[in-house]
Amino acid sequence: MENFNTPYFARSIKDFWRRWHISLSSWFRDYLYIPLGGNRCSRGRKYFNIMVTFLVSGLWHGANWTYVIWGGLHGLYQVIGQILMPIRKKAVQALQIRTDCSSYKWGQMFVTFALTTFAWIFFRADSMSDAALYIQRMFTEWNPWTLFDGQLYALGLNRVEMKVFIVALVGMFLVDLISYQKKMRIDIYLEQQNLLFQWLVAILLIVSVLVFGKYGPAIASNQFIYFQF
Amino acid sequence: MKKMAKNIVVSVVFVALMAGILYRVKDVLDLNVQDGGYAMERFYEQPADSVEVLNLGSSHMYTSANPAVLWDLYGIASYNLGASMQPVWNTYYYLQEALKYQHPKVIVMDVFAVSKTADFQESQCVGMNTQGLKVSQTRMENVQVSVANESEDVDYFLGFPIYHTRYDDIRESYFRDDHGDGSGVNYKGFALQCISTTPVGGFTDVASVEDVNSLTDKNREYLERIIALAKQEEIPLLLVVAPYTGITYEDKKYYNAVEQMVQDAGSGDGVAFVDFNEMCEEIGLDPQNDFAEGNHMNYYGSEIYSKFYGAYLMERYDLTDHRGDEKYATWDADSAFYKKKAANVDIWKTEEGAAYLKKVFAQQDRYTIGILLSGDWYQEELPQLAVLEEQGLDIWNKNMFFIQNGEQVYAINCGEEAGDYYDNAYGEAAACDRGMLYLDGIRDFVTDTGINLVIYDNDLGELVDAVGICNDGTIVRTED
Repeated sequence: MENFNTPYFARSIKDFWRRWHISLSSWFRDYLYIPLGGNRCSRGRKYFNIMVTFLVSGLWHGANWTYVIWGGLHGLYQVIGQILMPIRKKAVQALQIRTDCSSYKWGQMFVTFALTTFAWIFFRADSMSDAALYIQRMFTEWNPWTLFDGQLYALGLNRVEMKVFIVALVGMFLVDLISYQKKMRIDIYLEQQNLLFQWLVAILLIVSVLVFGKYGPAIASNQFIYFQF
Repeated sequence: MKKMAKNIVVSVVFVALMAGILYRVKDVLDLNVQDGGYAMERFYEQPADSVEVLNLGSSHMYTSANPAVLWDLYGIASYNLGASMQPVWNTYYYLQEALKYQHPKVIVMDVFAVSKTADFQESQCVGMNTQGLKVSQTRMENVQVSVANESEDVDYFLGFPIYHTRYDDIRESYFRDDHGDGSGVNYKGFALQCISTTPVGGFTDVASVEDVNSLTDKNREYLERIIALAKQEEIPLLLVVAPYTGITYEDKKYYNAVEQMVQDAGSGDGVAFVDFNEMCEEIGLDPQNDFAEGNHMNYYGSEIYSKFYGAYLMERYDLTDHRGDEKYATWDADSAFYKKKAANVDIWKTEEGAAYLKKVFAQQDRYTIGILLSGDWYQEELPQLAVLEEQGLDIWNKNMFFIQNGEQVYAINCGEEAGDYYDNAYGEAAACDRGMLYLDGIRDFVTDTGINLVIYDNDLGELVDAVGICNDGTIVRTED
């Protein structure tokens, strides 16, 4: 089963969960959301089912309020989105916003990305107070110069590692973009290319993993945040 | 069938290409730094059965025993095979590996490591003491005895999991075959310490210490193995302690334990011990000038010590003077390299302008020298200007000069003449319209008033210095 399908190109939170950790979300859909009644019930009951499903999904990730809030936020995003759907549609019509153009779709992706990223604050934080402090500082200590004055390099990646990270990020974005636009997995896309290009990609990936990979005696595998899931 | 054959050919070509690229990547990132595996890697390249004195041990050994001096004075073909903070067990496996390729007339081991009581070292030291050896049973055993956590044995044996992270410190020298070391295969394991001397009170009188500390079980076991291996190969073994100013009474008690071991083994068996710390005055070492810091000699000290050490070896062991023998030409090359390197360091350490210039011009046959006179430099009595005039530089009509291998190749008056100087071999040189001096990519404009100077060593392929000599004769550098 394909487990992640270009999730950050999702145009809504609902769409995000069709693309993110597909095996887990399918399981919750089949064994919790649908048995609870799914969407074949009253509107209120449907919202309840969504909230329960996402709160339990949060708890599944860890017995900490931060995970519960993370799940709850994703539930709330969807419930509020559905409640506000008629108003949003009217606003789009009234403002004569075109919905069939690329810019509208990229805008939806951006909003979805911002909402999921905000929820990740709770997922990543060690405690609720840490998450609250983080969010508070986003607004009270707004200082974009920290991006340029070298403070970034004190967070765990030195200058060279930061460059590797940025190149890797651009690479991952391109891979996702190709998958999204061609609507096919990247390996299938590569199979359709010339042999020389396939080799170049394979060699680049193998060498990159061996050189830039985090392994060896100095690395504890449990440092990888998703290891516990 | 045809398709299968094609697939096989394509797969083989891909695997070969991949292997070639990975080998090159390994070669670039390999931990062959001077205080790590470099000495071992170069040891494999020495002419067969040429090394007569094999010096083993930690940095105490390879900063004190100077193969160039031993060669120049006595014709001793020696090699320093060690690594930083090398413990006794690594020395044992280094010896085991070395004896596969050479059969020295005497093995000398510096036993500083016996004063260390930890059974395992930090990962950085483990890496430096395990990565130079070729893939073999010896390499595996060396790793196994060094690594505290057994699950990491494979990482250290393969090597790449240890040093792949060096990409974040990558520099041009990693891509050169000789890793920036101009002497290449002529390398004999010496590490030139040029750190400014640290004033110390004097030598610690350890001769009177008679107490004995017990060696750790691991140190004792591997020291016994080294003695046994030397005996088995019928090669005399000399255990030494090279002088260092930071020696403590506790250290001396461990060395006494080694001496006792040797006495127990019987000196007639070809095993001997000498603590050169007890002979510092006889050797002629000056604690104020001949040490880089508490643990290591600087190269001045190594020259004095090696003169004594070489005589000591010649007197006691059946060594041959190989000077003039074609087979030993690499020792000649090492000696020539050392002299050039030491001269460069000597220039770098000189602090008075006229003396500095005299030393530079003494080596000018192999240098490219860029000179720019700046500001109010024109005071006739200045001794540094006299040195320039002695070299035939027309300083009263020109203010920018380039000298290449002893020949003046360029001279202009920057204020009045436009023009530039360019030489592919040594990089961009001058941009006169801005009154700047460039050499090998280095822009030098250190002093507003005085002589700006950039010196590049064409033989060693290194920048010697980029300085300004102020009118009062002081030397300033950009970092000053």
